[in-house]
Amino acid sequence: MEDGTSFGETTHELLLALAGRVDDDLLGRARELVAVGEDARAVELVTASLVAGRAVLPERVRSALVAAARAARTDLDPGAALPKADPEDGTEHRFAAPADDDPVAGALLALPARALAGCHVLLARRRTPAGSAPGPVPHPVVLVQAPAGGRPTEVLAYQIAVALERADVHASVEVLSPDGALSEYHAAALRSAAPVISADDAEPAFAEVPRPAPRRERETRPEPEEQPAARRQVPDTAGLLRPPVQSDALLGDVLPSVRAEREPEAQEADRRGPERREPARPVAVPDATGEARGADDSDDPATTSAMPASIPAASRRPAPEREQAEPTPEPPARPAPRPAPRPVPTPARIRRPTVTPISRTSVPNPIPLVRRGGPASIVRPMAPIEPEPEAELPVDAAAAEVTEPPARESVPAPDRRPADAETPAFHSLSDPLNGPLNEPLLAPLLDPTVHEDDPLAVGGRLPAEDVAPPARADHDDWSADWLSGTWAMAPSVLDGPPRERDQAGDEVADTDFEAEEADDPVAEAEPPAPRPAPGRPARHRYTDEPASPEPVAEAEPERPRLELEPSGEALGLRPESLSRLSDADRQLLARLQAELLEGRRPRVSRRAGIGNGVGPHRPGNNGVGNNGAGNNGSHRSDPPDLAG
Amino acid sequence: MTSPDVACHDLLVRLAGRLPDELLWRMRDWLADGGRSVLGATLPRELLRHRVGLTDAERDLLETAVGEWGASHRLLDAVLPALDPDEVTVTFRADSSAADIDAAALSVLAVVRGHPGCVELRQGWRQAAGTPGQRVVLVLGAERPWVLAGTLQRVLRAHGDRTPCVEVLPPHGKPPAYHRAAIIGSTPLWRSAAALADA
Repeated sequence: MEDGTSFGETTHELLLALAGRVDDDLLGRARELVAVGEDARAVELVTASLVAGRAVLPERVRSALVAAARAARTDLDPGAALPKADPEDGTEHRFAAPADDDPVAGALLALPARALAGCHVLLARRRTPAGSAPGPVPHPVVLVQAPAGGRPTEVLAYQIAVALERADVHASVEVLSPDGALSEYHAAALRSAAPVISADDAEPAFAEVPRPAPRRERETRPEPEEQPAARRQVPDTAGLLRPPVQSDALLGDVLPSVRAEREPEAQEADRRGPERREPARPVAVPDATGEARGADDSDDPATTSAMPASIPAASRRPAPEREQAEPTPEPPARPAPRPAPRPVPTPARIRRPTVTPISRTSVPNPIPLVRRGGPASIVRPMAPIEPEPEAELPVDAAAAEVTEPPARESVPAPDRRPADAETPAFHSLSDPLNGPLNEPLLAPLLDPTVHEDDPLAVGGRLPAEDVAPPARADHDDWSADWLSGTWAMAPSVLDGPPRERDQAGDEVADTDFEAEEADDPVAEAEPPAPRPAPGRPARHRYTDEPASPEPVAEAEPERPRLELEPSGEALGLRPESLSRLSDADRQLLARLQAELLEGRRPRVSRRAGIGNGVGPHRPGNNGVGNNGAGNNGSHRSDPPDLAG
Repeated sequence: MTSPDVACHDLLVRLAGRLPDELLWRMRDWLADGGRSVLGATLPRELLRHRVGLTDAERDLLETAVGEWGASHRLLDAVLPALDPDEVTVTFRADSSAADIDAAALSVLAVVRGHPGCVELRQGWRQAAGTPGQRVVLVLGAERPWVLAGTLQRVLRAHGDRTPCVEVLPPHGKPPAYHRAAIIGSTPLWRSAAALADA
C-alpha cells in the first residue's frame, strides 16, 4: 500500500514520513536541526544517510526527498543516487505496548507540564530495527498528538526529545500533526501504544488550545515541573472502551528526582497512594470509532486515514483526587472540569531517579584504588619495617622483639636495633603520647644530648629539667664540639686527653663499625670494658626513622659488640663520661682511636661528622641520611678508595 | 598510490577527537557502506562548519579521497590549514576489570578475530568534563579497515553505544596524538597469535 502521507510541505512532515527508514538518532538529530531552523542541514544529513544506505523508498517519499535535497542545495543528488522507488504495503515495523514500569513513561510524566500542554502522549515500543545502523530494540517511540494551533510540531518534538534526553532517556518523539494523515508506521505504533498523558478532556483535543488557567499557574510557580491536575486527572472511563493506564503502573518506581524532591507532593502521594491504585493496565486501544482493540491486536487493519482523536490516556493524577472530590463510586461519563491544577502527588517509592542505562558507562573508578593506598601512607613508614628486621636479625634479637609487639607497631625502629632495648629511653616509647607524629618534638626532649643543640630550638621551648639527666652539662660540651666538626680535623687529638665530644660520633657509624671491628686488629687488641651504666642516650632517636630497606641492613647481631667494647681507660674518658656512652659509642671511639694510631687521616670520621652534624635534624633527614648511612659502612671501611 | 577509500579512512581516523562523535561515526559508516559521493558532498562541508583545520598531509588525504568523489574544489580550498594537532584535551582510562568485558566487547572481539590482518584489539574509556565515559575501541592492523570500522560501529550501536568510537589503525607507524593517548589509556583485549609469535 502506498504511503498516503501528505508530506512535502514542511521538513518535519518529511521527517515523519522517514520515521523507521533511518536510524532514530539521525531522525532526532534532523528534527533538532529543523527546530533550530537549519532545515537544509537536516535534509542533507538525512539524504546522505539514505543515499549511503541505498534505501528503497516509496515514490512519494522519494520524490519529496529529492525535492527537499534540491531545495536545500546540497551537493547530493538523491534522484540519481537512490534506488528506484518501490511501493510498499504497510510497514515492516512491529510495535508493542510498553511495560507497566517503563522508564520512558516515568520520564514523560515528569516532564514540565507546559511542554505537553494539550497533547495526547502515547508510548509504544518498537521491536524492529530502523536504519542501517540501528540501536538496541525494543526502542521507545513517543507519539504526541499535538493540538491544532499549538506550537510547531518540529519545535515540540525537539523540546520533548531534549527533555527526555536530559532525563537520560533516549526515545524517538513523533509529534503528529492534527491535520495530517497517519503513515503506516505511526498507525502501527498507535495501535500498540499505551496512553501516558491525556489532553484536558476526551474530546478531540487537536482543535483546542491549552487552557490558559493551568499555564498561568504553572508559570507563577517557582518549579516549572509542577504539573497541572487538569492534565493528570483520570479521564472519563465510562465512555471509553478500555480502562486508562494505571498511573501507578506507569509511574512504577521510576520518576525523576525532580518530582521526588517535592516533599509536600510526596506526602500527598503517600497519603493517596493506596487510592490511586487501579487494577487495569492497558489491554485495549480504542480506535477512532471507539471500538475496543486489544493491545495485542497489532495485526488488525488500522485506520490510518485519521488520527485517533479520542484515545484514552492515563493521567498522572488519576482517580484519587476525583474520588475525593466526587464521592460517587462511578466515574462520570465525562471528566469533571477541574478548577485549578494541583501539584502532582508523588509516591514515596518513586523517589528513585529515572535512569535508563543504554550504554554501560559506569565503569569501575580507579580513584578508589588510589585511595586504597592512600591510608597506607600513614602506616607506610612502619609497614615494611616489621618483616625485615625479623628476617635479618639473629634469633635472640628477634625473640626479644616478640616481647613488645605493640611497641613494634608504633615505633618499629628500636626493634631493629637490639641495643636500644637496653636503654631506658626506649621504654618511654611505650608512652602513648610518644607517637610517630610526636617523635620530632619528643625525641629531642627525651634526649639530653640533643636538645641543647637543636637548631630548631625545639628543646629550648620545653622545660629541660624535666627530661634532662644530671650529666647534661657534659653532653653540652661534647655535643657542641661534635657538631662543629673540628674534632675530627684536630691533629692534637693523639696527644691530648680523650675528648668527650668523640662520644657522639656513633650516631650513624656505630652499627657500621660493628661489622668491621671484627676484622680490625686495633679494636681487637683493646679489651672490652664492662659497661658502667646501661643507659645510652639518644638511641631512641632512631625510632623516628622511616622505614627503608637500608636501615634494616644496619641491624647487626649483638655478638661482636661484647667482644669489642673498649674500656674507659683505653678511650681516655672519665668514668662519668663513659657512663654516658653506649656500646656503640665506645666502639666508635675505639675505632677512631685505632685509626688515629695508625696515622690515617680521619677522613672517614669527618664524613661521619658531616652526617652527624645533622643529628638533631635526623627525623627530617632520615629518608636520605639513613639510606646513605646504610652504605657508608662499606665506604668508611675503605676511605682511600673513595678519596680516589 | 593511496586509494581514495584508504585515504578517506586515514583522514577520518585523524579526525577523531576533532569532529563530533555523532558525525564522525556516521561518516565512517557511510564510507563502509560505499557512500563515496555522500562523503564527497558532506565531508568538506562538515570540516568547514566545525572549523576543523587540516595539516598538509591531511589535506592531501582529503583531496585524494573526496577530490575524486565529486567534492567541490571551492569547498576543498576553503578548508582551514592547521598545524599538526599534538594536544589532546581528553583523557583515556583503561579498565582492566572484568566488568568492562561486557557483551559489546565480546561482540567486537568476535568480529575482530575473524577479520583478516588484525593484530591487536584494545579498549579504553575516554573521559571528558561533563560527559559520561565513552568507550573507545582500537584495532591495530586490518585489511580494508574502513569496512571493519563500520561493522564494529554497528555492533556497538546495537549494544546501545549511540556514538561508537572505533579507531582502526595501521599496525605500524606513529599514530596521531589522540590515538597515542588512547593506546596508552586502554587495555588489550586480544592479540593475534601471529603477532605474539613475531614479537
